[in-house]
Amino acid sequence: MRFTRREFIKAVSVMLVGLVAKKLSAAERSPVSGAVGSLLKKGAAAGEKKYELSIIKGTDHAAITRQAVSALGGMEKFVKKGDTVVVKPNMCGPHMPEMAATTNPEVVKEIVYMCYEAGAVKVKVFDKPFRHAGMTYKICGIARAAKEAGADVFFVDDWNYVNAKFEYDSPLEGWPIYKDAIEADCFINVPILKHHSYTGLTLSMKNLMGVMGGNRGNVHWDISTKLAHLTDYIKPKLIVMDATRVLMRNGPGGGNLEDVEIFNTVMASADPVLIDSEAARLVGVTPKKIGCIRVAGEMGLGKFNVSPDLVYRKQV
Amino acid sequence: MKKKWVRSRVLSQLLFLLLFSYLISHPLRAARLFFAVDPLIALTVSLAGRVFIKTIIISLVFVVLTALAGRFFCGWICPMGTFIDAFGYIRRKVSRKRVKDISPRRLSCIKYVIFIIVIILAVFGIQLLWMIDPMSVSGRFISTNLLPAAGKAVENSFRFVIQRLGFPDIFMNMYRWLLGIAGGTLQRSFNNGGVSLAIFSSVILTGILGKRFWCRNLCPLGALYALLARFSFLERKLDDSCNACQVCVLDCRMGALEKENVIRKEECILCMDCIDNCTTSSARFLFKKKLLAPKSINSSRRDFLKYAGITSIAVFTGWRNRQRWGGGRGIGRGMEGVEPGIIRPPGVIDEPAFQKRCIRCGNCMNVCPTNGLQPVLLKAGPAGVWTPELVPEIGACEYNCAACGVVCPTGAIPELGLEIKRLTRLGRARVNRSICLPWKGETSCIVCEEQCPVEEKAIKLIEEDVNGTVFQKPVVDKGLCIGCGKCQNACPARPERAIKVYPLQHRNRSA
Repeated sequence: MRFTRREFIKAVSVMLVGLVAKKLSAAERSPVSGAVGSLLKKGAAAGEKKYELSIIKGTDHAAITRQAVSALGGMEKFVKKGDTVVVKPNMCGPHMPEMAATTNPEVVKEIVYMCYEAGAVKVKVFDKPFRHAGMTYKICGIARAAKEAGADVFFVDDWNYVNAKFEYDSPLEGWPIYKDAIEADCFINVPILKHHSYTGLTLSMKNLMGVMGGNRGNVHWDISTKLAHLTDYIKPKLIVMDATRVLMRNGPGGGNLEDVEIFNTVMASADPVLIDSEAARLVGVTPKKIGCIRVAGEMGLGKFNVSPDLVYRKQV
Repeated sequence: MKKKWVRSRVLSQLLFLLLFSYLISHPLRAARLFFAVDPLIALTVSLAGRVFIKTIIISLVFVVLTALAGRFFCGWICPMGTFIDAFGYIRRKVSRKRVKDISPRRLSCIKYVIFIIVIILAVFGIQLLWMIDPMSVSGRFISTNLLPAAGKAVENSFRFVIQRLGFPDIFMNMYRWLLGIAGGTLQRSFNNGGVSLAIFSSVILTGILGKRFWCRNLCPLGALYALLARFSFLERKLDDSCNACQVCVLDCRMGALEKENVIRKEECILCMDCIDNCTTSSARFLFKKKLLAPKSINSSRRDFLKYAGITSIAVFTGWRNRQRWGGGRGIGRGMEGVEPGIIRPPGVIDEPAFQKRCIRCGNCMNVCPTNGLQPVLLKAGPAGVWTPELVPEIGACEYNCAACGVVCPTGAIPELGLEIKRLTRLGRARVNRSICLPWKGETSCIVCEEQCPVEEKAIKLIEEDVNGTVFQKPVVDKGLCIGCGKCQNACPARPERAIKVYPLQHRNRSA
């Protein structure tokens, strides 16, 4: 079969139109849409101001996720063109999304979309569950949602690690850390806010444990320092906290719907201490009572508090 | 000459071997299939365990088919036969000198003796079939030797290519794709896999003595099928062009041809060698037009049938189903106390009955997602060799999984729904306060409580002030703990874990 030039041009232009249409339709799911849309929205929603923390409430979880990131200056501020991005949700065990033990799949999906819109070449989504990995990926719904958005979802193997190196004395010196987490151009932490019997709450810093190898049981000895150092080592560029459903008791696994409260909130910030403190306040816990927040704040990884005009709050 | 019959037979053998391997590694009911069509398993387990296992009905289909068409199962389907044929093929390719391929015909009666011994032992409640049943031997080999070794080989070769040779991207993607298919891990290993390998290799190595030596002379399932095939309707016919060259008689792997026109149907496995190798293309298989009564029945066999009939009636009148499950409460709830010993898969409470029913096929261990089900060696006594136990330090019983009961072909592990399995007790956890870090007052640690999959948490933390530091100390809630072993699996204390699961005391423990 042979193409004439005209046929070739026709075929290419049809394909191009198709691609553009697909891109547009992908961006249309959300009221604030696409690369152009989010640029417009950045000016409209957040004004010219630079917010350090955004707290958005609403029942459309994908939309509030997008607004939370837009308020900080849009995903383009964190993801550069051509970046490889790691989106690290909380996939701790085989729990349904309603049980609030794992990150809301809609939130993860929207973040993956936004990364691609900002020009990422590859978005990787993974976690190391403490229960069976295959079941966890399937039941928590994140693998499917992220794949739909075009992310590369894979299981963590037990040999592709590099040993952590610190410039200061750290209990984590030499600890194996998953290679993809370190090599990524941009690391986006997408934790879920939930109860935890030891750290009090599972927050963004605790969520980073998913990139650690080795005997993770041992992490619990002196966990506050270890989590703070880990946060410093990974240096997540953006943290999007899912507080749409919050597990109030029997964390981190849960499994009872009575333990889940609906908050319909998504927060975003680049400051791990700030967002963890604010999340703690949301469920009525004093931030400094949580070890890793205190240690990380004292290390200078972030602020416990910012003036209210740097916080963007909105009810959608 | 075209070997179309032999080719289709080999193709069928390979396809059934693939299907067999595929099925036994998936948590589907179909994993039972190959064991369900084995009438010997159904018969022996029913006799030994004094239970009626439903797969007897499926196996009857194969009894009827064999009675109609002969031992097609041995030639076309049996995975053990496929392994044996493959071994023979390799042996003939490798060895230079022509080896003697055909074993003496009179040895073929040994398999009937083995068959009778297996049945008689089963009547007395001893089930030793697991050692020699071809389905068990081959299934076990695939599950606990072949697949783990293949997984390890794949993993290591990718590791070598990626880390040493430095081709990260393409191979990493390929590796992750494979890992995704395997459901998260390629690394599985089994304690005492050597037992399975040793039994399998002994069976395979009988191939040195001659083609299909095992199937002709030793296999108890072969004996059962031989008894049925004797009366089958499929006949080998020669037309007038036969020049009595004797090629078929000399080459028959089963020694089924006494002369070119005299066939012992009980030995013929329909391998089709004599059809495709016939120098004059004069042989073919045809169904007999009408039912022909056998001319004479060997009186000793008649005696045997009489004996077997009488004994089985005696056994079946005392029929009792030992494993009765009460309501939706979950199993083992009424049991108190703990003892050192073996943690059995969920729902197994009657130890002697379990040992009689378990045919050690390895299905449960192969399907266990955490690799926690492992074969024991002598821990369960001589009658319990290679039965499965949960080893929490390797892998705990996954809260969201009831696959072992689904794949068990004989119902030795009962099929519990997920809801009931979550309530089912395997054992109970106990904290060793002299090792546990917070109990010793060394450091804080709540790993066991964190990992406990029970919704209400079967491990509670009590707070105690020790010299100004508050320690959260774990205690086990005896009412909630199901003994899944997740706490023991995750406990960071070494070398001995500070929390361990102990099996429940069984009510009827006497053998």
